[in-house]
Amino acid sequence: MTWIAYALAGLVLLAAAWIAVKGVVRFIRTKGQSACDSCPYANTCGKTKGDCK
Amino acid sequence: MSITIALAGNPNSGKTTLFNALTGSNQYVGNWPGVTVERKEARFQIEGEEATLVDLPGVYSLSPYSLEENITRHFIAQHAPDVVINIVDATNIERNLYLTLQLMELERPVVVALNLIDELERQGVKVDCRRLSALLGVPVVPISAKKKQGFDGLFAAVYQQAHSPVVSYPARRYDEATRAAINEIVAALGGLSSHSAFDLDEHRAHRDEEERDDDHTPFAEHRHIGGYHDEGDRDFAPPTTWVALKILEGDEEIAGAAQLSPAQKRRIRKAIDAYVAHGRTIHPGIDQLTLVVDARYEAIERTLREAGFPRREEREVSLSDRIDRVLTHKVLAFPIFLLLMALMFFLTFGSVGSTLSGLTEEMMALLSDGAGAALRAVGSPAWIRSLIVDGVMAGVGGVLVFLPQILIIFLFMSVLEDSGYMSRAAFITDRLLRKLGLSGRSFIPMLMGFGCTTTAVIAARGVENERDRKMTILLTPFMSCGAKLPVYALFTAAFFPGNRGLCVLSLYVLGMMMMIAVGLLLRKTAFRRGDTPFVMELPNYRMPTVKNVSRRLWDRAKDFLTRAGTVIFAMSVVVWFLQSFAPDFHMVADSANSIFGRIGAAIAPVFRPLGFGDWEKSVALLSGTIAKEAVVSTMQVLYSAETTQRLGEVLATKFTPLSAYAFLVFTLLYVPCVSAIAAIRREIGSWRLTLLSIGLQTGTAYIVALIVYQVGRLFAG
Amino acid sequence: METTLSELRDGERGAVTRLELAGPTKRRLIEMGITPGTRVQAMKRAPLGDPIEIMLRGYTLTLRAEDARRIFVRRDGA
Repeated sequence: MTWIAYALAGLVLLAAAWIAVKGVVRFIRTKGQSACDSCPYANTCGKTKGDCK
Repeated sequence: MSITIALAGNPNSGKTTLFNALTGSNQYVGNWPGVTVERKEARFQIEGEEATLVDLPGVYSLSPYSLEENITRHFIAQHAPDVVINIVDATNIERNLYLTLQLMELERPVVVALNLIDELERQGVKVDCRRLSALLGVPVVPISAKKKQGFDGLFAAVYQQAHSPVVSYPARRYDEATRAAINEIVAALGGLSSHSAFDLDEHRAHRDEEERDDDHTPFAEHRHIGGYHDEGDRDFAPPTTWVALKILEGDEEIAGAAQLSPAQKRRIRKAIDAYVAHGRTIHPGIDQLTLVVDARYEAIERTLREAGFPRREEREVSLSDRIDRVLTHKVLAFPIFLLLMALMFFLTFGSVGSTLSGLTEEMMALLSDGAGAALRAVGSPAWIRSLIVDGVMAGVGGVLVFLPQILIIFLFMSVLEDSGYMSRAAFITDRLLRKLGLSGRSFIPMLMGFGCTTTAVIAARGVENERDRKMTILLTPFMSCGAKLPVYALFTAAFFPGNRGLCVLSLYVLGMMMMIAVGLLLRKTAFRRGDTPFVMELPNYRMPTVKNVSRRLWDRAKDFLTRAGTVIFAMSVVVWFLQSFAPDFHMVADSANSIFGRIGAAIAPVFRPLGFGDWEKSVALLSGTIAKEAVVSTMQVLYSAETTQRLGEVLATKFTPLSAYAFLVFTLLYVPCVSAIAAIRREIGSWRLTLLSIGLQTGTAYIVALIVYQVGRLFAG
Repeated sequence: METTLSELRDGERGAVTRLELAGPTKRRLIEMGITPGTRVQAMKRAPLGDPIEIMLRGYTLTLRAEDARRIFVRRDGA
């Protein structure tokens, strides 16, 4: 049954790596803008509302 | 053949609401070329035809002095959209129509969308749009952008203006003296049909040489320019009447670009002098610009009178005014403000917040225990258990527990903002900010810095003066951002259990004090006074709707969970890896020998004088550059604490209350997360200043934490 | 009797006579509607007396005391 553990570990590591790499690439490409897209602390980050005027 | 529609209007007139309502989510958001003002564009269908709607920045007028006005002016004059929708706030109609007249002067087809009609009718004013339309000479369509009403009429009017345009000439309705002056200047220019297609580009280059700003960033150059290169630009061939009006106003840019002969200049000078002399018989000392502005307003007043609009001269004391009498009271205003802030912190970090967190914590603990047990049951090797339970679950869980508290603080801020109190806060703090040479307009971005430094940095675009904007950007990181809340919550619960709210308030106050100190320093050294004309509107108080607030809160909660599930998750795994493996990639029993341990050991000595010279703490702070919450999740992983409570116990052995406070001070002040740094770099435009910001933050953090710790030790020891 | 906008007490009304301002500030203020002859009413002021809020042309506007000090008005009834 230990394969469950290994599968889980593999999943976690893979997911983390994918998120990390994708995140970094997007970050560099958008010059940091991507961080705000799903940020709970940010009001709008200048996307749709006019608040960031 | 797609038609281009420009959307123009005063700030706060409902323009953005209208834009969103018309276009939904298929917007393209970018920047106006060469500058950092946001440009929104969207495609939609109007009566079956393709149309592109371009949102122009909110402006009060079309003078050449501010960036937003220049963009609007340029777009309409040079890009020549097929129709200009001018959204007008009916509750503020006189001032709004000032822009309308200026738009009409450019002789593009205009449609006036009269917004907030329902508000006006609620005040008992009946609006006769047809009459107004006839008097103005442009279609006037009543709408409610918020309720999405009146759009059919709007589309019909726009369609008609696009295909069989009716252009009106407002100058024909100005007073006689003004008309005479305009006619004379038009004649001097060569008559109505002579469109002097002067080259604004040439003028721009000439201007650049003469008016060099001290910094050579592209942004600074474009601030002075009236023209931009945009696809779809045609030759700048403005109506001659418009040129004449601008010359009469004293618009130097247009006058210069028109390339007048000495004879023309003389003739025009005579006309202007006569105009001013005539004006001075009524208002001594008046100048040409004021006369023209007055001419427009006079025409507006006349039009509104004939259209049956009652003049709102009297204003009974409204409920908003009565509330303001207290909230902006000479003596009470500040204490009330501080009290509200204190209440916010008390609720968040004190009894209510911590109880909710405690519940979340118990849930996390159960999950974590369950996972551990399950893994053991399937015979998982130790390292996997460590990864899952001590790595991922500890790290992510350590941050998740603070969701209730973050929501509480945001609930508070949403209510304050939606109710309109925040504008009052800007009103009150303007005087203080003025000592720093800034204005109340800088307050809003700074306030947003309490949520997220990155947003605040972007919001600083609202500050008109370039120097002030840069300074605002440099100062916003001193406002403690939302991601630091878990750190505060964790430490105050562990070390200052009786005074959590007070403790956090003290941190925020310290942050603001540092901001003022650094601001004064910057004023003296690098950033001279800017000339910021400060005008602001205080909207009426409004009752925040439960629907809006709860929707916003829900969005935030979702985002928080996403962030925890992605960034924090990935970070926790990375941290786990770095603290489990030595540089030669085999597992270590003692994490002090791991990669992280080595890095930490190298950095740690720097922090010893501050009271937190252990490698784990240094590394945790380092991880805070990715995301501030990571300080918590990293420590959770490094100290092998499965629950937040356990972490608190561990920390109690690793810190003294004094060193804990010093640690919090450092966290408060040091360099913000990478996304904020990236935003600073984007907005401020130079690496030099960005590095200055980083150095400023880290340096201040170090010095202040040092002082706190060392002085504290003197008292304690 | 001429006085300045900053001298009007809360609730008092008057008419603008002239502005002794220059540059972008002046432009912004007159374009917001503060022209000679315009009727204004003082509404409220922040602690320390700055900035102040006035009502004109059917809307309220906030401006700095130092600017209000350079806007001259004639009090109603004066």
